[in-house]
Amino acid sequence: MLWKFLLFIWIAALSAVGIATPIAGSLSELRLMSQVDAKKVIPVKFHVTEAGMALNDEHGGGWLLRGRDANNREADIRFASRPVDGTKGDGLLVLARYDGEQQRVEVSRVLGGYPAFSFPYIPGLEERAKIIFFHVPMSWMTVVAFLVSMWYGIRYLRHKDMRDDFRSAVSAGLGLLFCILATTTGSLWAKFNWGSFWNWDPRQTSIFVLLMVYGAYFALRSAVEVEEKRAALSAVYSIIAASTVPFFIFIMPRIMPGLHPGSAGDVNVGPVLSSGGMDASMRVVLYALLVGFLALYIWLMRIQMRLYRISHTRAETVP
Amino acid sequence: MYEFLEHNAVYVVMFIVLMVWTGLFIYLYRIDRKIKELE
Repeated sequence: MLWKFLLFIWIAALSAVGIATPIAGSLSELRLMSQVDAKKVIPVKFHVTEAGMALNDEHGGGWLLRGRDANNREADIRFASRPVDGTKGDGLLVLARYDGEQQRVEVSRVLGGYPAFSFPYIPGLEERAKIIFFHVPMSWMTVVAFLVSMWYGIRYLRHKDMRDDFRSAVSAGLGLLFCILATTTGSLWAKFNWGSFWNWDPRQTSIFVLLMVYGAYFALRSAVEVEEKRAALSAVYSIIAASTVPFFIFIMPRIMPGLHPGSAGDVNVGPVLSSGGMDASMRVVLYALLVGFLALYIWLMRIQMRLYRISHTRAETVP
Repeated sequence: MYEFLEHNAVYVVMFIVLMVWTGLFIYLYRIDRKIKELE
């Protein structure tokens, strides 16, 4: 009982951390962004090094101070009015753009104090980068569930134990659930990041095929009525189906050019995790949530197994 | 709505989390129905 409660706390707390942690860039990133888009406003965190002074109207008015970011880059920063926490040593998180002509940072809004824990600013993704905590565990759980389904398929063929057949089917069902969730969450995200719900990106294509492959698994199961025959057929099918999983998830999306990170020709990050292209703080949250979802999967498998056991002991005792 | 979500992208992430919870809830609901059948 306790571990289920802890699991709930674990997933809920990490989801909250994943969503609520602020995104914060540095002053140098802000300067870089202004070369692409002069009007671009991004969240920036810095420490005040000089409390500064009031500007007269000739210089735009407001309050000017000097700030330093985590990479020791300094810049002049102009506020519309004197900020409350604007004395030397204070830290601030603000929404700002860089004015190339005046060579200073223009603050449009103060968001709060210097965040001790923040995620990096990723151009083009920004807040949407947080999808990785929920979308990626879904697709990893898909792989795990399908491979477990194959494992129990093999065990069924060796021992002819109907419990293994049931485990194989339940795991394939959970895999299908995670697969659908990975597809729908990714699709909603793609609408806002890539402009359309569906782009036939290689990874979208491959997960679509995977959905078809496992949809057919359940069609096969419901079509055969004799239990032993159904178990043997679906065990063989799950082995063949799972052998396509590594190709569709790990190989095809990486050898073809596409929109997902890690596609062929992707010069920015490469495969996000294995290339070390991901920020350490985000990586910790992602792995922790992955462990949480794995435990959730195990829990759901166990509930299904208990159901199976109850229904079978009933069938034996009730004449 | 679309513009609001475009400028407040964190809500897109929240919708995504809601989707995950909805999916898991539907799965749990189906298990619940199976248990009811047994009862």
